[in-house]
Amino acid sequence: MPSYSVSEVNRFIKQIFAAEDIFYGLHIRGEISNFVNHVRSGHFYFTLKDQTSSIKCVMFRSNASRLPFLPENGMNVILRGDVQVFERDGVYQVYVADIQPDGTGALYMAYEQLKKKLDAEGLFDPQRKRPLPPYPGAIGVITSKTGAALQDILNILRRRYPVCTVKLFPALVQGEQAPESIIQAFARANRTPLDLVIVGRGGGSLEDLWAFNDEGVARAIAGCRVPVISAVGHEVDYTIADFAADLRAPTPSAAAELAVPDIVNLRTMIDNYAEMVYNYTVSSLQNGEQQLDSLSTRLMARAPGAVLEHSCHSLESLDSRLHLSFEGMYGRCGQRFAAAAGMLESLSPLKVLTRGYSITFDKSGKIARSAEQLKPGNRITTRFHDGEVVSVVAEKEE
Amino acid sequence: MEFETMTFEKAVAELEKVVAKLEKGNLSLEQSLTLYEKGTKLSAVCHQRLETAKLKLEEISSDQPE
Repeated sequence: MPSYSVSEVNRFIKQIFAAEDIFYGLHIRGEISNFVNHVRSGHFYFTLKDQTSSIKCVMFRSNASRLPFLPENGMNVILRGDVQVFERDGVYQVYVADIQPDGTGALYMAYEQLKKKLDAEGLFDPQRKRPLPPYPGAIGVITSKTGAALQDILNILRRRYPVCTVKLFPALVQGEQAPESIIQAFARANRTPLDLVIVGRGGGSLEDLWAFNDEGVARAIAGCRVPVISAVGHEVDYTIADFAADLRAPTPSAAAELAVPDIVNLRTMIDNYAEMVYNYTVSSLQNGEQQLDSLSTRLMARAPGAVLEHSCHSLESLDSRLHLSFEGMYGRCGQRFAAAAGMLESLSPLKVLTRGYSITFDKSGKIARSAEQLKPGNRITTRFHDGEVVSVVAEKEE
Repeated sequence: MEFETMTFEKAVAELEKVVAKLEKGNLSLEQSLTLYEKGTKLSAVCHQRLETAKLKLEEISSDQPE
């Protein structure tokens, strides 16, 4: 009975697989798991699975490096590749040529991944955003030399703020070399004295704008020495560049408008400043005048004649104050006296007499308190409030 | 005079400084008169720059010496 070596068996199986056309250029749908990014070799190893089954996959560096996004466990994808046998281990596996995210596009996936990564790094942090200079003197523009974006920007600046200088850093804004070209332009801009940079291009398809979703471009924007306005002409979608920029403008024209003040407002502003300068100076002159007036008044008050006059005045015033206080004191004494007298009077028995009472004295001058003290024929004296009468007792009743 | 060579943004910045100083007060009469003169000149410079301004465009390409 003939026997075969393991290698022979595996080689034989491999040849069967290799001979079958159906195993080439297969599209296989499934979920990625056990993903290993072999950093040193750059190859990807993973398993593609569905609910009941799984298959081993390998993607060599030559293909892996062209993927715009990084595969992750749990990601639903459609692979394209060949199913062949790995002779050494006696297993069949997919040799992956390309991976497409299932449902969303690969570019979109890459965009989301990069956005998440840079956001986690803090590159889009609002606190990193720098304010734009109010009156930029030199504005750097990074865009295509021949594109409409440059003309749009120049038109707006010419109309609104012709006092500035535009420094153009030509760059490719489309195609594979665009990211590197934009990064180089930023490097030149960083070596040039500038107040502000506008980077952008006119609108286009998602693929056209792809350079503005490049990681290196985003880092160049974030690392620029001066504030950057992104102006990727695509009203709706935000590019990674938009997130990294200090300010995002929806179009290049809008970027130019945001970059500079308007000359009409500037004229008004300068007129206002001139008026303020005038007003403040006039008021400071008036202040000076007032100060002078008040000083000369004070000075005059201290002239020798005035001092003497002042002394006389104060003497007079002292005099009158003395007088007044004396009078006052006197007056107060008088009042107290009158009050005391009033009190005394109200207590006096004589007061009673005014109400019709009288007092009767006997002949010896004692008050007659009782009829018993008196007899007919006795002389009595009766005191009224206004005088006395003398009379004789005529008769007595008991 | 320095005013003649001043850029617009420099002139505006100077003018703003003058206004701020005057606004703050506490100036001698002499100082405020000097500032007034300076402010008047600066606003004239600003206006003049705006009147005669023509957007300048320079190209800085990689093939140029930097």
